[in-house]
Amino acid sequence: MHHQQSNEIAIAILGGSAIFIFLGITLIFLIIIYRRKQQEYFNQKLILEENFRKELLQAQLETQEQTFHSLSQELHDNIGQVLSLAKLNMSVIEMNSIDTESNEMVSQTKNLLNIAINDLRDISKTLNTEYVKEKDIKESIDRELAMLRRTRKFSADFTINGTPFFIKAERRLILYRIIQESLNNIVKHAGATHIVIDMSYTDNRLDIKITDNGNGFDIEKTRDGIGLMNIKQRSAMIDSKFNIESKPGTGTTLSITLTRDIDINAE
Amino acid sequence: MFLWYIYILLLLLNLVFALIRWGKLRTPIKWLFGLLCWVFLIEIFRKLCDEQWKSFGTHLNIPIEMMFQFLYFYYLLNKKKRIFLYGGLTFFFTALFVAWNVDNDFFWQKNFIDGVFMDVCITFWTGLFFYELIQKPIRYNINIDGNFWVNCGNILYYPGTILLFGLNRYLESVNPELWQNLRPLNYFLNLLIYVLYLIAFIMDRNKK
Repeated sequence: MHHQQSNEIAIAILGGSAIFIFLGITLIFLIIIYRRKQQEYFNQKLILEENFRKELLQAQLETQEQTFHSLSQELHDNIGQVLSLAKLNMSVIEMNSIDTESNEMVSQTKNLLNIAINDLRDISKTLNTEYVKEKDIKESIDRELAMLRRTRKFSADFTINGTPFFIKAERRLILYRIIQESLNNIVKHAGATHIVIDMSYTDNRLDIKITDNGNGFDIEKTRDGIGLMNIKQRSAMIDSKFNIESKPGTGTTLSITLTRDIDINAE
Repeated sequence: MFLWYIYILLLLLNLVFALIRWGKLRTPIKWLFGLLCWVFLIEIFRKLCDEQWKSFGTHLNIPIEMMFQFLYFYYLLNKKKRIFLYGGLTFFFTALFVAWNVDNDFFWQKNFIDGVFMDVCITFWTGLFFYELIQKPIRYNINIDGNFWVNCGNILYYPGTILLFGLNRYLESVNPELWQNLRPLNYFLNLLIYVLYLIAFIMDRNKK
C-alpha cells in the first residue's frame, strides 16, 4: 500500500515538475519570439519611415533646384539683358559725347556695368542646375571661390589630391550644393578671412575638407541652424558622411566623405 | 556525488567570470554574485558537517538566499513594483514563523518546506521581471542583458523544485529509496540554473 502511494507521489512530483519546467520553457520561448516579431515590425517601420523621409527630401530638393533654375534663367534673360542694354546705351553716349569729364564718368559706369554683368553671369551659372550638372565639381568650386575672392573680404585656397573619379550628375549637384551652403555659412556667420578647400581622392572615396579661420563655435551648445540642417539632409541623400569640428576661437572644419562604390556602374 | 562536484565547479566558474567581468556587470547581477558566494560557502559547510547540522545549514541558507534574491530584484525591478517585493518577503517570513510555531524543531529537521515558500516568491518576482521585459523599448537587446538569462534560470529552477521540496519529507518517510532516485532532478535543475547564471555573467554588459 505504502509502496503504491509513494509511487503515485513520485509520479506527481515528476509530472508536476515537468509541467512547471515546460511552462517555464514555453514562457521563455514566447518572450523571445514576441521580442523578435516586435523587432522585425520596428525595423520594417524604420525602413518605411526612412524611405518616406528620403522621398520627401528628394521632392524638397527638386523644388529647390527648380526655383534655383528659374531664378538663374530670370537673372540671365531679364536682368542680364537689361544690364547689357544699359552698357550698350552707355557706349552710344560715350561715342556721341565730346565732354572729356563726362566720357570718364561713362567709362567708369561701363566698367561697373561690366562687373555687374560678370557677377550676375556667375551667380546665374551657380544657380543653374543643368550647368552645374554639366561641369565637373572642381570647375564649380573654382567659380564659387572666385566670386568670394572678388569681394576682397576673403582669400581662398583650393587643392585637389589624387585622381578624380566620376560622380553621377545628381550626386555631384547635391555635393556642390553642400559646399555652396558651407561657404554661405562661412560668409554669413564665421567672421573668417581665409578659406581652404581640400579634396582628396582615393581609389574608392572622396574626402572634402572645408576649413576657415573664423570665430568657431561650441558644437555641444550651438543648435543646428537651417543651413547646417540642409547640409546634413543633403549629405544623407547622397549617402555621404558629414562631420563638423569646431571650438570657439579656432575656426571650423567641415568634412564630407563620399564613397565611390555607388557610382562605379554609372561610369 | 559526481553531480555535486560538477555543481561546485559550475559555482566556482560563475564566481570567476563574475570577478573577471565585474566592471561590466549591472548592480543587480553584482548582488547575484553575493548570493553565489554564500551558496558556495554553505555547500562546503553542508558537505563537511553531520546530518543535523546539514539540515540547519539548509534552513539557514534559504532565508539568506531569499534576502539576496530580494536585493537582486530590488535593484532590478521598477520602483513601482517594490510593493510586491515587500509583500513577498512578508509572506515568506510569516510562513516561516508559522512553520516554526507549529514545530519548534523546524530548523533542525530535514525538510524543505521553507524552500517552497521561497520558490513561490521568486517565481512571482521572476514573472514580474518578464512582464517588465516585454514592455521595454524594442531596441533593447535581451541577449546582452544578463538579467534575462538569470531569470530564465529562475523560471525553470524555482517552479521546477516546488513539488520536490514540498513533498520530500513525506516521500522520504514512506520510501527513502525512491526519494534518493528523485534527487538527481534537483541536481539537474541546479546545474541548469548555474549554467544560465554563467551565461548571464558572461553576456551582461552595463551600458553607461
